[in-house]
Amino acid sequence: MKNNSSSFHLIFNTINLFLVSLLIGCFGGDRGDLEYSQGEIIRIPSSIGEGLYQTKCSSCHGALESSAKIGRTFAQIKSAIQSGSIPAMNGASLQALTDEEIQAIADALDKSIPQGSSNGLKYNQIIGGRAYLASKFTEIFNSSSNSTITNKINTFKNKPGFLGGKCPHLELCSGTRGDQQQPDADAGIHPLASVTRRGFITKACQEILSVNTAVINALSKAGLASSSPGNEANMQLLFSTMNPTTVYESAASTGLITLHNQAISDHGFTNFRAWRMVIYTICISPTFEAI
Amino acid sequence: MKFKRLLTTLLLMSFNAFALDMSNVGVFTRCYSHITQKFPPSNLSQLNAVKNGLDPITACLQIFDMANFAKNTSMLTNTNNQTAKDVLKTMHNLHYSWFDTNFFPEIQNQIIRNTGNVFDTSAPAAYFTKALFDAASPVTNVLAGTTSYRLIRANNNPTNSPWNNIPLGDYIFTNVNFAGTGELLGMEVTAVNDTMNFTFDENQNPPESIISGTLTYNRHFGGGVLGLQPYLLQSVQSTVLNPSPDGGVKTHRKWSRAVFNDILCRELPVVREVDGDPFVSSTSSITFRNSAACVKCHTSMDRMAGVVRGVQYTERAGKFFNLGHSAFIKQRTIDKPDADIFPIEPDIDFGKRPTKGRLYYRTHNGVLVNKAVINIQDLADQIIAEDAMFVCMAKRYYKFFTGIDVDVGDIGDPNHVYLTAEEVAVRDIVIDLGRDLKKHKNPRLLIEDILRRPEYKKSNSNVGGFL
Repeated sequence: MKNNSSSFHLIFNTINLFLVSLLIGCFGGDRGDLEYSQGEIIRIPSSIGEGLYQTKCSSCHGALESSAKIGRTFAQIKSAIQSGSIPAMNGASLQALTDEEIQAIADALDKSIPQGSSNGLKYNQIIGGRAYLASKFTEIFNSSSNSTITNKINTFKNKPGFLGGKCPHLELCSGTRGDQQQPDADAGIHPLASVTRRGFITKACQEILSVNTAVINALSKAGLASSSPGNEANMQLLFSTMNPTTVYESAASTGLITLHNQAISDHGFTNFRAWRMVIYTICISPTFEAI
Repeated sequence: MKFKRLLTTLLLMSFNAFALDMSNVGVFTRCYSHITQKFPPSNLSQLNAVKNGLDPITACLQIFDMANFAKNTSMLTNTNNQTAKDVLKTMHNLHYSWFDTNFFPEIQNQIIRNTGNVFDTSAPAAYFTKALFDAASPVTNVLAGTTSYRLIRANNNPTNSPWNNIPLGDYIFTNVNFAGTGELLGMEVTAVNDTMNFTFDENQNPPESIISGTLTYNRHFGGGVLGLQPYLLQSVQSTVLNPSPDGGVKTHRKWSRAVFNDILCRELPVVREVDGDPFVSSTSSITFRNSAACVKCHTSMDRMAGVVRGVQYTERAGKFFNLGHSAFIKQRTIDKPDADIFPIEPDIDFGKRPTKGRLYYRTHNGVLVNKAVINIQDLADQIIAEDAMFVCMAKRYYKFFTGIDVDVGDIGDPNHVYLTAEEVAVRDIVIDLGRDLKKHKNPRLLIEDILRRPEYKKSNSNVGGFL
């Protein structure tokens, strides 16, 4: 058992080294999945057009909502401005409108602008605080309420440190008083907490999964047993149980299956220990802490 | 090496589930985790209902609605329901995070401990929390009236002072009502002019001189959260006992800057170059008035601050600067006539003149809002008449639930940072959500609208934001 544990920690350390180098380069990209761009034409948003309408058109044509010019197109508006046939539209203020601004006014008058597809919007993933992760650890790894696992989870949950954001001082977040409050476990995540946070989570996964019961509980939660084969169907069950907010892709299964199989074939692991390796890999992946 | 490649592949692949919709269980899990900050237990009835076909957002809203306040109260219906407490805490702490300043000032280098003993720093957030969980309280109440709330927590009547742990019997105030501590359960209305009686040994050494009296600590100045004692204390942040604004060098601009940030989601400058130009004075002795770049910010924040010009702290009592190191806000007596609210030279009587000010900013769509206001409530009314507060709330809830933070500033300003088409498009969505909120006045409905948006169902394809 001692040898197993040493070997387990050696592998953990190896994986962690890889992860540190990988994480730095992997997570700064775009979501790329929203579908709200304005098609091929880069338009000034219609909200700007509404402002332009209010300042330059509403005195004659009334409020936008009840404007007599609802539905007027870019060409119609531009023609009206340029024709000179409408004295009130001959002023410098209207003549100075750019095509983009006229288009924005037309867009404001036409709420049925078709929306195209887009890529590239940046966003910050929502990640859970310590309380969230502790509850997730409990749910996945400690359904049997094992006291050793409970202690390890609580050690993680109660770690003081720069992991959270503001906490109302009267919530007595960590039992201290005054203005020196430690932030609550589920307070917002401070951006500077990343390195400490990653260390705590990695350590927690390592500590918890060093208890065999935690591995058995995770497998059981996914409907698996320690003797279950490391095939695609089982990988999907495990992955989806541990990361329900991340869609499982077969590409990931290939990696997990290979990890499982190579742990056995190349390193002499038992099937159970190979599962532990797979579970640990999922546990320390950023998707595990994402809400 | 093979093992290294394997891990690389594994990690990269697991983070590239772009544009995929989650399962219903995934959507429910995300939503439950969002609103409770906990992972859903497998025996949760709503989770099992989702597995049997219930719409995941409907199921999640059942959880959310557990935190609704009981009718005619501002308390959880069932204060023993841990899930309800989790939801309430999550959303209240979210609202609390919207306020830029979350501490009481130090005055004359003294921590005002007694203020921290009777006021909760998160009290301003209670206005948003009430609007969210009290169906009878429209969101416009956030900026309406003179109602003050005291948060009700698990230990609602602590016998020791929460800030510095002094037993009630030893406390300087004989009838103090300490702020509650622990888990949040709701809130209650407090009287506008609550008082505390004090008995105070001035010298603390023989010969003793006992002073006693009454201190008013809970005056409200109108405008909902804007005129709330804890909000004024945290946002005015004056470090001197009796600030004397002169409308030029000295004015309560920290407060107005906070209002732009906390309520309107706007950072200064909030007007364009051309809007500040008329207020530049090359002859003024006030340095910032000589510069167009400086005036561009001051013309908005300094003029808004005119409505809190009379703010000062409670009277000094005893030899120390205040009782038990307290500070509470009161209004200076107005005994001087009207004058320019943005004087070119310092006005020594500025703080004694009527509380006039001006709301001056460009909206998200570039319209110049330029309204005279006569006090905090009038300012609040003018803010409510515009879209900005509602758009701001939509922006913040949208960010909380999607991770996407949109720019609701005046992007038509030539000096404004360029936004991509995608950013503009999502911004328009949020603006529409805000305008809807302005119509229905129900933040809970706003949240439902966000949760039912297609982007909320997208898989966790990218886990950025922490490296």
